[in-house]
Amino acid sequence: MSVPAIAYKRVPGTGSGAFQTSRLYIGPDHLLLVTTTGWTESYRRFYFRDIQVLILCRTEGGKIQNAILALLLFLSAIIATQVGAGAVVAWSFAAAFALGLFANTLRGPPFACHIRTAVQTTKLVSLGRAARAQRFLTQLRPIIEAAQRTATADDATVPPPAEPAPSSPGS
Amino acid sequence: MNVTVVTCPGCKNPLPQSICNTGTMTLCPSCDITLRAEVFPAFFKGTAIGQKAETIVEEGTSSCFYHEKKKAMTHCDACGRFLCALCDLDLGGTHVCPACADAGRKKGNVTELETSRTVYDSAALTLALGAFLVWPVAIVTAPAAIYFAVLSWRRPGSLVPRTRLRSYLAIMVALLQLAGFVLLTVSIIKES
Repeated sequence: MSVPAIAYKRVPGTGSGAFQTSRLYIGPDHLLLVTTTGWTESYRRFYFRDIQVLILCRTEGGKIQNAILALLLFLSAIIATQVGAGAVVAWSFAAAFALGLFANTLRGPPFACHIRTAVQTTKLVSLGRAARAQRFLTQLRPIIEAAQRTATADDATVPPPAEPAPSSPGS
Repeated sequence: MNVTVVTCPGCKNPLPQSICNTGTMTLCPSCDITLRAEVFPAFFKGTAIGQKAETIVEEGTSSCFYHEKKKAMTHCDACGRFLCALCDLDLGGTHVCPACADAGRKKGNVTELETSRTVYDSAALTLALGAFLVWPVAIVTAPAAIYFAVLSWRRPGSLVPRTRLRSYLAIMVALLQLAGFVLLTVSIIKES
């Protein structure tokens, strides 16, 4: 038995963890979370009819990243002012950290997106920044609502109200 | 209907209805974290109750292949066996029995049931690039990378669309590594 392949559309953004990356795809009736390690891909599906809540929540990760980059920048600058011959290398590192700090600030604060169904709550790590996550949510909302409206119509089991019996003549 | 609450991911306190479905970022009243909550109709619907298999009342009624006392509601589109409501598995509009679903999952024919796959092009690229960490192993990993890259063209790949870039890159890097080993060997022979 063979079922036709499903067409997926990729959601921009890639999340990374310990030796793995995550990407999100939109299918015809579900979201597909793809987690890739060295040579395997794992798949988790979230069907639109099952999605109860989507929450975007700001995290403190951006502040931590900025603090680390600022510290490295400061240390590189200190080293560059102290050493003689290797100052160019140290200043190069300092410039790189400064650029990283500037880029991280420009990208905006990081957000975590939590998707909740009846049985689980999962964090979607590939939607890292506010602008991208908000666009994703705005794009996805009508799709989920349409799928759940269709599911509600299919599940309707209430019979239509009975028609009133015709009145007999002379009553 | 069992109605639960929407909680803030930060402080785990319930979120008031007024800040849900606003379409914009708001603040959690408990912890002041910036968030946006979108609640969908499924949240209020509650957990659906599964359909029960009907017991056969009248003699002569078709029964399920797996439950002879249960009424057949449909048939398997793969093998034709009659199925009750419990045994009927709906895979994107196709009705199958548990045995065919399991067989399809093992053969890789039913993508809805797949939870993982080996992606040989990523394996090839990982082997090719990983050899730079410990370069002597490249004499082994480079041919293996080429093998996996070619294998990726013959085996089912990822569920999601992807190009052959990874396999081409893996072959290119592996060939460069092998060429490097050949040059190294030639130079050693010349020096000796």
